Amino acid sequence: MSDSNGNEEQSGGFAKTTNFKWLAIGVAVFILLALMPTPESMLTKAKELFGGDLSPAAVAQKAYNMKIIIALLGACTVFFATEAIPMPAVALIIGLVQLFFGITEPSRVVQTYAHDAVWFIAGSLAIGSTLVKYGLDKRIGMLVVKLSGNKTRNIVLGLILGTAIPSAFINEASIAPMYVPIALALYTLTNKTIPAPNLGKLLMISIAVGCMVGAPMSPTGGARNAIMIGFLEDYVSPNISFFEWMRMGVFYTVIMSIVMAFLLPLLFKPEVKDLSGAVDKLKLDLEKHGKMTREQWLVGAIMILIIFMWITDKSVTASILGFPLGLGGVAITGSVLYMLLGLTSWQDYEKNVSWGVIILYAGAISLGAVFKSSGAAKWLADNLIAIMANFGVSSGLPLIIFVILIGALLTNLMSAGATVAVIGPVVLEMAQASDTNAILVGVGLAISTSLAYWLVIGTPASSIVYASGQIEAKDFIRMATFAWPVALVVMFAMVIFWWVGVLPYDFGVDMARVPVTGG
Amino acid sequence: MNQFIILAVVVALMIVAMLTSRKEKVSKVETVKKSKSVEKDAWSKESFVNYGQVQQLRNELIKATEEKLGDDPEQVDQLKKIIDEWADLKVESFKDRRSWVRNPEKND
Repeated sequence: MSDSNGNEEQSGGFAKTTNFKWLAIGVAVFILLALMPTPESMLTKAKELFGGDLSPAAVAQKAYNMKIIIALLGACTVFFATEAIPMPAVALIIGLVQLFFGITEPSRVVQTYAHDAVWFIAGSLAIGSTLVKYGLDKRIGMLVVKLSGNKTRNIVLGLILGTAIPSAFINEASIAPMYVPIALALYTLTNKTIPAPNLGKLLMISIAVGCMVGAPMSPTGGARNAIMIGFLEDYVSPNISFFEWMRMGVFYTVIMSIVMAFLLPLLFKPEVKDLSGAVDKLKLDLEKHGKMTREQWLVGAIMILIIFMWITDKSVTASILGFPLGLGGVAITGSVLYMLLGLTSWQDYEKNVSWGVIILYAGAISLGAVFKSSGAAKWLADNLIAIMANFGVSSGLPLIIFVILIGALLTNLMSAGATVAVIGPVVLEMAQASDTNAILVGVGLAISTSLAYWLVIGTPASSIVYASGQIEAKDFIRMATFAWPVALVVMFAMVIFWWVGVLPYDFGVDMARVPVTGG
Repeated sequence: MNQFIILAVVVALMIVAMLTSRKEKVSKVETVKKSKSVEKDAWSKESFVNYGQVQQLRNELIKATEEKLGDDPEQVDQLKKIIDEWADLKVESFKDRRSWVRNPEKND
């Protein structure tokens, strides 16, 4: 999962203690919004959603709850952006606010954290940690060197695809550090004879870009994808399957990989077009690693089995068992299977899985659930649609494009997961209120959050390659100046020509799916 | 009207938070980059010798020790032990500076 599990410098707010300045600002945002007079439209919405037979005091209480949840969303936005407090603490605060303000009963508050998506995140992280433990990530890197040939352009394509494909299934914070030594070796071996600073930049930035374009391809590409699936559960039935997501996301990954393999060498013109000498030397070094061991084959085979089960959960598994296992059920099956076969231990999971990430996204699910159930999402969505209608972007394709733009912008200011956690419930409610296909809006938002191209801290992979010392912050800006708009165009093309043109989706409500209603 | 003022303040605070916190995070990554660069410089100043060179030096030192202190076997044994430990350390430090690409035993 891409949004998580980094090393110390990539810990994304997990190793930190409280920053009181940002904590104060987050609390101020909460208090300002909570003390604001309750808007009349909120009272009307509360009456509309919770029934006209409620007493005026009860309606006022429901409207007050909505306001508190909006205030909580505001404070969470500050906390997610600034990492003012340890991130798992934000997740727990979400539940505490519900408790302290009497929005959710104590016996039900834990339920708001529970979702198949949380199991999915936990299981995926555990599976990823086992693959890394057995060095299967390195084997993929070795395969890339073997298959890419000697031409610089082919090696760039190899690095992009070689990082993109694993990033769709394993945490990118594990993929990038494994590829950095490969790129460094190619660069230093070449640089000994011909000074090649551009080659170093090109190879390094290819790794970061590969990780970013790979994550949208599957639900396992990042916790953001998993939480979007969790949110969609409340809006469409049946929910999007693993295979459906892959079918939607593969277009972006393939097209962007090809586009970037052409674009990056133009932006960072390499001094050398053929890396035969360096590649041959590297291959000799990599041969010292020997052949795949029995354990590595077994770990790889189980991973393939799990991917197969994810893809066929609603077809093969459902026909055998009479019901699907769910993405989380399959992920946990894989992680338990590794333990049963003696390939890993619970201690390994404790050490290598970021449990804080799981709590964080369980909190995001809880926020989404209470945002919908309190009616706050409906109120905010209706108001935003009313404002956006003035600009002609209240439904259908214009709404999807708007959501993609917002996601692509916000992901450069907050982490991708936080962007989905904060605006996911709002845009899904907007989709439902405007009879727009919630799947297109939701998946569109999740994919757009991979466009964190502008800053060295955009993604864990960007920070890792930046810290290697080969590239400067301005190189990211240079890349993003061209790649960010190109990625947006690819996304728009994906929505129009792939999702609606080729795949069986409409901009309007999907009639094959029952919209989930209720507040 | 009051509501709009409050909302404007809240939105302004959020934007400031997002933009300013980015700078703080960038400066942290800069620190990591600098520390890695310092480490790299330190490695480059070390005198590294590969496994073969270490073994050659080790054998020469042991031979010289035996020749010069042959009449004191206890001291020879002690010095041999020290030379062996030095050789092991040299080989280890040579391996440590290498990434997983050239050091199959390295995990990260």
